[in-house]
Amino acid sequence: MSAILRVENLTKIFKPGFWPLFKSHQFTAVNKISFSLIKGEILGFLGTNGAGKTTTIQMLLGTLHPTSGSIFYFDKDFATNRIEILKRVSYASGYDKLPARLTVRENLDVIARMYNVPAAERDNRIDAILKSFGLWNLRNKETGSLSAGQSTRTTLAKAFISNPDIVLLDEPTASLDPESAQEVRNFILQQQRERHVSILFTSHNMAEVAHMCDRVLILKQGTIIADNTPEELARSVSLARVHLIITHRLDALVTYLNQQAIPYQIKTHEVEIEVDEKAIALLLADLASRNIVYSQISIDKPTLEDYFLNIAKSE
Amino acid sequence: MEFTHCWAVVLRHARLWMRDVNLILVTLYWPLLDVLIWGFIGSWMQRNQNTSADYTAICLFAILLWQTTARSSIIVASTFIEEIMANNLVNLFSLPLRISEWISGVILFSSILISFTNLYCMGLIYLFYNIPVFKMLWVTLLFAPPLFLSGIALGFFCLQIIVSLGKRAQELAFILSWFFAPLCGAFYPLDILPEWIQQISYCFPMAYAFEGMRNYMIHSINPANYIIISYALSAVYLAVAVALFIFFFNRTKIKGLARLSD
Repeated sequence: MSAILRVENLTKIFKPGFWPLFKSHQFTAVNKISFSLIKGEILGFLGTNGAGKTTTIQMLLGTLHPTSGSIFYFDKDFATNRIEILKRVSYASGYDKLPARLTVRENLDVIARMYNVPAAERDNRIDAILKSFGLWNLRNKETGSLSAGQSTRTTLAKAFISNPDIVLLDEPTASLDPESAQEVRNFILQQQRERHVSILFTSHNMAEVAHMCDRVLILKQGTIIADNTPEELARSVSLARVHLIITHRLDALVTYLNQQAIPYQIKTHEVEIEVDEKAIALLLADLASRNIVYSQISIDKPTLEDYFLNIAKSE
Repeated sequence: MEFTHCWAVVLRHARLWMRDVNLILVTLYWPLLDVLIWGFIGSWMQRNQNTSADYTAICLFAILLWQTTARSSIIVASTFIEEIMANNLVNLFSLPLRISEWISGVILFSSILISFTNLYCMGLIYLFYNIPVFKMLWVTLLFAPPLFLSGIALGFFCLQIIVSLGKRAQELAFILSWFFAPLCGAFYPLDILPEWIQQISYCFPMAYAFEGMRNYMIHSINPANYIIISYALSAVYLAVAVALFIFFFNRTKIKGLARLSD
């Protein structure tokens, strides 16, 4: 399938300021990254704070000039076709806000006009999107008076009002409580299913990215260090977590784990052991041979978070 | 350039203006205060002058015309500052909105607001001082357009500094226009000023408009030359100011528009 967004060797270097008082050091925020996004795909952009996620999004929107590299949307160069391309690309962020004193409906009306939604269908389109994002009852409220979750839904509604082909979402669930974040994730997935849009999704919430994305790019210090499905990335981590409730010979278990240099954590009778997936059977056999008895066992398979933490440790 | 986009910019700011009590007060209160103060100063001057010139009208026209410059400058600058303060810059300029469309929208919005303010001032002047509406309209139509263009130019000069320095430079928007009030002889003839300041004053289009207005009102001198020079200079200043603003706006994208809100 052909890519509708193609990024080639994109680089952003922030150079020192001109004024001596505000002098800063040269800093490479994004370093020669290349990737593509295909039709209908949700591509996750994962990285710690300062990894270059937001910088990349800003360059993809044209609000930040790249130092070098190219961006192609729909096989057209973004540098020379920015306005034409932005008619088919939209954006929402958990950090940016819509004008606070305008009502939700007024804000969406301004945005719809910017996207050239025809006057005859503008009101219907706004009504539909208000209902679809659960904002109908809030339509006449000032945007500044909304809760964080409602405000995020409004910025998402803004992103979908133009029926875009690509939506760039920059940490849309940042600063939301878990319930609101889940609500927003469901909205995004529902919209993606109904509208078949391609989504580039940045986050530093591993579970969120694993849940939502078809493919994940992991950014570290401005460089892409992994590009795969969340499942494949997690699979590349062999460590699993074995949880045991020990009912007999806890001290023997501790001695054994110390002898074998196996990492573990103890909370009263509950022990969490980090062990290679392939060595779990051997571990359980050893416990049985030492007459160590447990009443409950559960095994957590490696997750994307484990992969990410592994990378962080290897730094 | 698409008019729909320009109109969307107008609607965005007009809706804010109509909803914000502070902005409504600023639009209605200060002109009222200015009309009262300068009208009574004019009446007092009139009483102490042995002349046929109508100093009340001259003072009132001066404040009416000066407001055209100062307010249009502030409106232009505050529309951009509003986007910075609302953390809306990245949202706005990630839309398919050309900078030329935003500029046109802001100028259109300013012209609507200034027309409203001027009509409101004329109503007050008629109410308090009984100066004929036709005379006010005539003087405004003659002298206000180049002053409006000058104000817009001043606004964009402010904005080029704000897009370079961010919101810490926002006070400039309110300082800069008033800085020109003493220089361009809004409230007194330029020959009152020291010679060297006069030389500077004649570099500004506002000076010609105000001199033209006073000469027309006091000596009935045909103001055509003053108006032509004022138009020509303000057009040049506006073109330079807008070009510089676009240059600095694009240049600020090297560090990113988002940083302006920091």
